[in-house]
Amino acid sequence: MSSEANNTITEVPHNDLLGSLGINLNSFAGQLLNFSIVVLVMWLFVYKPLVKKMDEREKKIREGLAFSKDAAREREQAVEEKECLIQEARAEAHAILDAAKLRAGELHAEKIRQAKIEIERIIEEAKMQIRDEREASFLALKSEIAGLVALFTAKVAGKMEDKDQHALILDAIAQVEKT
Amino acid sequence: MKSRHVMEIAEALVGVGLKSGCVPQLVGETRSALLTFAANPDLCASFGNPGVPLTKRREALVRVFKDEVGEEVQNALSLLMESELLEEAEAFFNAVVRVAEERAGHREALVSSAIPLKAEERRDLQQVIQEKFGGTVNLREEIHPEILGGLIISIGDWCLDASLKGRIERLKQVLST
Repeated sequence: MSSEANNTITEVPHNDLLGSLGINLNSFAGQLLNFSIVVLVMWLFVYKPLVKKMDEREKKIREGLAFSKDAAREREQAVEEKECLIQEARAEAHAILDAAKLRAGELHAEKIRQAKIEIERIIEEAKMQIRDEREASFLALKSEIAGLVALFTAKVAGKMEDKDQHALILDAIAQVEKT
Repeated sequence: MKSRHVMEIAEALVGVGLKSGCVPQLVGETRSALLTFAANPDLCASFGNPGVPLTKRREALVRVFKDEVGEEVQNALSLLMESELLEEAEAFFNAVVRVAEERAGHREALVSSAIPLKAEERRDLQQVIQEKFGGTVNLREEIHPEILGGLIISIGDWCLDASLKGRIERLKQVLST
């Protein structure tokens, strides 16, 4: 109906239309320019740095999260390694203790063995000493007997008859032949 | 030097003995001369006196030894006298014995016994020694009653103790060890 109204009525000029709406084209253009400038300024000096900052922050947060994940994993690994080391140290300590016990047992047995050997040696030395003393006594006795035999023989020889003397001479001549 | 000269005279004497086949005799005579010098120590000094002419000393030497030794040994003694080596008489005798053994196979055997040997014992002993060592042997006997019985025989470096005293000593050693 309005359009028919409009058609019946004569066309209103454009400016009046905008004016009836309360829109001033010049001020609108100016405001539009201002707005554009403001938008531009805001975009250049606020939006972009802000976005950049936000991006940076997001990146940092992401990196921090990743780092904390890595740290947690490494901490877990360190804890595992610590546990392993403790286990190994315990095992080594047990082994050392066992070896020390074994060695102590061996030393003890060795000392007993050495003591037995020493006792046997002392006994053997004593036996040898007794044997040597007996032999020395026997030799001394033999020597005395030999002296007595020599003395007796010399006394007997001094009383030898000529035939015995010549028998000895013939024996000596036979020895020359044999040598 | 002296010993070489003594050896030369000894070799010459044995050489003469070899030619005439009387080495044992020459050795015996040399020993006899040595015993004479040993019994008369002044003899060496007298023969060695340079104040007496050499011809006189030679004549005196011949007179002293003419009944004891032959011409060969007299000549050898003269040579020793001329070379002033009479005091080396013992060394000369040892050299003669050694050369006689090496060149003529003649040996001197010293036989010690408690009593004198019978003739047959002497003969048997000489024969046994000659068979053992070869060559000729001259037995030189000495009486030593302290050996108690049996014989001790020495020929050069070879020695056999077959005396009763030696047996007793050996018995003592065996019983003592």
